[in-house]
Amino acid sequence: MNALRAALPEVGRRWDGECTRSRLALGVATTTIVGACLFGLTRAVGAEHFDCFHVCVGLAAALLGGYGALRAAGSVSAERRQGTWDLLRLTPLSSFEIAAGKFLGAPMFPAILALSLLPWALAGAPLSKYGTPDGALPLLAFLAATALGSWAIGLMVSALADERLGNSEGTQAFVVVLLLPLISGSVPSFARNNAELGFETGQYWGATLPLWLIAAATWLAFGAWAFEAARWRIAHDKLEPLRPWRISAFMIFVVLYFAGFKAYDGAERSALIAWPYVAALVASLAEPWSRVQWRTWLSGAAARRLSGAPVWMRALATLAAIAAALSLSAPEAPRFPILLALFAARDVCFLQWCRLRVRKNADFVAVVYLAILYGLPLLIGGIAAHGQVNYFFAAIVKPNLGFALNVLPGLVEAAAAAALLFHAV
Amino acid sequence: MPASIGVRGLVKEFGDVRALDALDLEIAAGSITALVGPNGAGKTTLLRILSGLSEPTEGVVLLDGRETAPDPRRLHAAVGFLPDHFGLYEDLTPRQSLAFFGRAYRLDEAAIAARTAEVLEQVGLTDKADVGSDTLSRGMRQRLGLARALLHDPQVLLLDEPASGLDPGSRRALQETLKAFAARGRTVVVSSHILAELDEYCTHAAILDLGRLVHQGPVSGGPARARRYELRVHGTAPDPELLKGRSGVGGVRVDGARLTFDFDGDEGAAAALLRDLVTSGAAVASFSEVQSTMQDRYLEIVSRRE
Repeated sequence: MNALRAALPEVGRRWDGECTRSRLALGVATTTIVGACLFGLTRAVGAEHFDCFHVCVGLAAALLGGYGALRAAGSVSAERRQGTWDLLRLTPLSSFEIAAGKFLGAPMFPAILALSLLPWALAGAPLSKYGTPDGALPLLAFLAATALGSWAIGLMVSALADERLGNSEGTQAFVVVLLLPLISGSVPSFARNNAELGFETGQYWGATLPLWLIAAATWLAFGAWAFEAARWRIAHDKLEPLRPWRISAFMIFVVLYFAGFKAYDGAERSALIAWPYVAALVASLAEPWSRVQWRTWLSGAAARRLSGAPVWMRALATLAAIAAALSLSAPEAPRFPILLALFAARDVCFLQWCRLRVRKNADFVAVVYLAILYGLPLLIGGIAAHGQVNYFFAAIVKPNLGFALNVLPGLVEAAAAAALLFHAV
Repeated sequence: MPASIGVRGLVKEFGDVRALDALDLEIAAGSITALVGPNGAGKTTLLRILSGLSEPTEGVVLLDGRETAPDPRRLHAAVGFLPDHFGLYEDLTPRQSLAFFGRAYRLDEAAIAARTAEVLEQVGLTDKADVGSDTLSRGMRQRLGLARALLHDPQVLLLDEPASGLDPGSRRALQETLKAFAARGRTVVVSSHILAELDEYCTHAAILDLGRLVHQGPVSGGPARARRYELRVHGTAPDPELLKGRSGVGGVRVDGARLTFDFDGDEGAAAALLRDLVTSGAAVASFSEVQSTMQDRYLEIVSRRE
């Protein structure tokens, strides 16, 4: 523990503040009593009526994934509210040391509680038809992967949350509401399916892999990206020089990740563009630029350096490159990626323009306008033109039109939005 | 090791508001510099930039002549900053809190124990070392904040309204702490509105107004202007005619039993003026320079602006 304290002081701080002897004793005693009662109940009524293994695994998953994620989701935002964040920023700790300390330190207490439940789950395993010895390792691996992934997501939300994005308990609660049923439900159901379905396998990039491995790796991979996003924001707060590779690498990763599934084979490959498109929109929402930032980037000492460019701009550039690559790799449906990239440029530039021109609730106004813009095709198509002009407003492939005519509306709108933004800057 | 800190062409904009406007400032190693100015002058903004909490829109910060932007961790390791508003880890005791920051500043465990005891003693919180931080009064919290800023023995100490919430005894102790700190060659920059106290322990002053530096220099000197002198004569009230037509003299005023006037000249010229007065028969009882306080100079500068 001392080495960990020295390497990651945040872990020591959490331990000193939250894992006091009385708190630990009370928590572990409670989970022990609960575990013993669940085990006793299973022994009394039989595992077919009440499965201690199943319930203990679910509770452990809820503690790790739900409570742990809640703790992680408050780790940075709570410090911002309390005024201790600046003090932490003043230390020479690197963004990685802060992020890793919070990642491991914040969910420490829930993790101890969850671990104290595991002996009861293992004790109940022989009674349960789901708790086969062969299933224990994949289950524990999956549980650990969901825990690590959910902590990283909690940390990311906490790091990105500020006054503008909702630096409040509500943000944290939102994360937990999303994660809790997902994890506490999926882990036991995974345990059940794993036993019942005889270790299902799936195809991924042509290889036959156990589903638990694909699922656990998915949690870990996206968790690692969430951690990196949290670290990026902490580095931003620490005024560390930022390297511009993250958003592009993430978008390429997302495409490669989904491309491994059979659903995206053949003509469906072009639909992969939807994932980096979402990433570009989120990047745009997460990073507003003021006029001052624009002026600094356009004319300051670091004028127009790639490392200083807004994240959404790099995201758009990456999206364009991915769209080109997907168009070439899916000759059956080459237009859709290009169309979506153009409309993404329109949407993102419009959002940034709103931020410079609309005084209040700029993001909300932008999203409403964009929603109307995407709703118009339905309205106009349904009532007036029978869908003939839908492609004016959204990325819709019109096979009966030539390529140039199909992409023209998106191109014009993207150029108009970019011109508006440039004028506002 | 003493460290100087400076800024070149510093600009900080918040939307349309320019909080710092092409500010150049040099703070010598080993000095205690008072940073004063009216509300909104840019003092807190400057301190946040100097401490590495905030990024300038333009310009650079130099620590010992080296730009800090490429390596902010070097700045963070060298600087101790007590912000105007800050929070405490309420679930930790002051000792635990300082131990945490000691590890964050990469002190070893032995050094942490020693420095924690030392700074708690310095700020008078030894008897509160092991109580919950949530039970501390406002003044004690301020003192704990100062202890945190001093903990890693920084080369440069930046304090934003450090006396806020402190009782008179604690203020006196703060002054002694800062003097002792600077006596070891460390650099201190302190922003405060309690100018009379700054006069007592600061060696230099920098006056900001509307984001610009309007005066900088030693506390014992004044802004670049004519010095003010006082003349008393034996017997009757002095006659302003005594000074009429004399070179470098202006702004003569009768102030009760004395004459005060501005004199644009060095000490040798002042001695020559005194000699002339005596030679011409004036019954000079006293002739001395009027020492203006930081408050006088500050008010004078602000009134000039108005």
